[in-house]
Amino acid sequence: MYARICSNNNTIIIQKSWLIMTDTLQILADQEALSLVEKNKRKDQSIHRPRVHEKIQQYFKNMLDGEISPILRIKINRSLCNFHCMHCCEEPYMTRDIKKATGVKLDPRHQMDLDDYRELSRQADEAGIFRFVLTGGEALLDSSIDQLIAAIDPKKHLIILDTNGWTFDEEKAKWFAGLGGYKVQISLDSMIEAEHDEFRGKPGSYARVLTALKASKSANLELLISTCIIKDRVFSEEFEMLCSYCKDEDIPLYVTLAKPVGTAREQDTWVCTKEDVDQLKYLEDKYDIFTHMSPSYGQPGRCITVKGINTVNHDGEIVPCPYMDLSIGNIVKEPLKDVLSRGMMNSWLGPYRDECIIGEHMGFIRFHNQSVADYQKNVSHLLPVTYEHGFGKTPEIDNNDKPPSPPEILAKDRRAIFAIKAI
Amino acid sequence: MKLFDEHGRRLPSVNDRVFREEPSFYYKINQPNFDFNLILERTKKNLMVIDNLSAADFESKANLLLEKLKTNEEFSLLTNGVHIPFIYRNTSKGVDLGKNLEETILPALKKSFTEKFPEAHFKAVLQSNSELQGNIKVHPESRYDQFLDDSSEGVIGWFFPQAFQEFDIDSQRNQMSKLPEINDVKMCLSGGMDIGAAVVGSPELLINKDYYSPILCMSSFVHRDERLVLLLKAYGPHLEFWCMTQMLSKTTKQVSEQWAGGITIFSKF
Ligand code: SF4
Repeated sequence: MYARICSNNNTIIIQKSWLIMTDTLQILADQEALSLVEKNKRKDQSIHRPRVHEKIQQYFKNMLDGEISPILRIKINRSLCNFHCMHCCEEPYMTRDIKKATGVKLDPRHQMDLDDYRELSRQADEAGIFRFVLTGGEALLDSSIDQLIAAIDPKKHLIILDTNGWTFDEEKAKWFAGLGGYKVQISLDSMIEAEHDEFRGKPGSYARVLTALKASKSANLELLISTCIIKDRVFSEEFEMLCSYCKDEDIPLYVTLAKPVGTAREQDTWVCTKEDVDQLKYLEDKYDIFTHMSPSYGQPGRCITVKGINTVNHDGEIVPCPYMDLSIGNIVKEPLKDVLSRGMMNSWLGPYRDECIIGEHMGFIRFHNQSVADYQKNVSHLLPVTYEHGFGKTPEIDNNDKPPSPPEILAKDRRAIFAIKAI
Repeated sequence: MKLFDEHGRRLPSVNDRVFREEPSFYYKINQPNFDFNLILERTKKNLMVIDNLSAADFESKANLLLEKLKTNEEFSLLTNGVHIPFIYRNTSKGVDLGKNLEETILPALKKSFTEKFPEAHFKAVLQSNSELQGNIKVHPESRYDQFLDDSSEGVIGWFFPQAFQEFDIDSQRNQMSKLPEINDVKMCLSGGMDIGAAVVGSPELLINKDYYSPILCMSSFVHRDERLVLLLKAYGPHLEFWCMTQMLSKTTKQVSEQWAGGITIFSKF
């Protein structure tokens, strides 16, 4: 998840001249560039999942051509969930909410089936994509999740499970590992038991999270804790406690920011400011803590719409960010590659920008929430907003006709993909 | 003819590829106060040795230079934009540009930045295994050769970081052939040395707790692999140098609201 340097054969290759350190500019040693743990993981990848390893290498090789390899985050089982979290952005997609708002019992749209997921896996593989996150709602409530994992194919893709941990005991953890699962992301929203339980709307969930963490470790799964922050939490003692806990337990901490969408649409006071985000960036240097915007895979920290994580809705609509409700196309109706290219050419989504547009850019938040409101009023209550009613109304960027080609020598000599230089 | 808008941003012409005709200025830089003493002190301390110049000289020469721009009808609006005075002497004339960046500019940036912000980091990251050394040349239309010549004796200058805000890199590079020359004021598209010197003197330039700052493109400098560009950017409270791809796809280059090319004016001191 947090690789910082890559090479073609599991070892760091830095051109020899870089090893001659001048007194002013030095190349960082391996521990900065790629931790031993990370290197071992890579090695495992090449043995256990050669296809995944091959795609990672391919990605690094083609990165300079602007190639992307985003995570596909699959929402399954109509987003069914056993929790009622205060900050949930999934509520409008859940049957319980749809029923309340429209009176219909079930979302009437075509729901992706195993054949659709098999085809998605094939197209993703062809496009060099190697990571799938299974989420819901609560993904483990899906009784056919084993068949889904098989359809996606854990030999070709890293399968990551997003869970609230409620049912993830030792037996479940072993079961998931046995299916070829790679990593578990378990949500923990406060180190204070009562606070976590209240925020997640589920008494007893804190204790279950601790059990789930232990179970994941003993099943030898990759593991991270995911936590949602609201304004000012990063400055709290409790958050520092959580960081220390993760450090002691050697578990990376993945931080998500509450967004003014879903259940939290009315909670303006929750929205993090740049000050919160900057504080996280300080903490990144101190702890193994990151957001999905942190520098990774050789890319600088930035908003990762389309490039980083795309959500696959139950009906095949692709949403270019975990917190948006606007689609860039439907992969049941058109090829994944076309949908992603369209997203990259959208002026909000493709070009480089540092800030989180759905969390911080008031212009974008207004456009987003207005599109949702108009769509639900005039077209359909069922989200996400389809392309033509949302992003399709915003400018595309101009193409340009002079793509440079890499100098011969650099192209054939490319081995280590990037280096962090300590100065 | 009007060349700049009220914010000092170049008015794009038909062939320029820009994110937007009129920029949003969502990405902002605070116009810093000019503390010529401090800038000179920081510059002297961080290896860019300027021994025969006093702060008073620096200030008066810099102001004289700026005044010439202000009184020029075509360029006066440029001075409405953010501008930062700097001094620089390139003590290694003829030394490879990439080597100069690696051995002088980036270390000086790190020193000055971390002295001002001890909690923060300065990091340099190169995508691809290409080194800077031996791979950087000056863009032929950037007028940067003149800067290189003059800076070997030492220059005083002003950096206008947002003159080409939202222009793509090619359009920034094509600008110097479109801008008229002015008597007595030398001008170039900003590159590694001048931007480096300006930020060494004013290390807080890109750091702001309330809003995001633009990414400074060193567009006069062309990498041998033309997909790569050199950038200086804030990462929250940190400062980072990136040699990274400008490709959005195999056939399309980046055009970003956040990327900004600069204009540098200078004179020998
Ligand atoms: S808009 Fe925000 S949440 Fe969405 S991808 Fe960008 S940074 Fe992430």
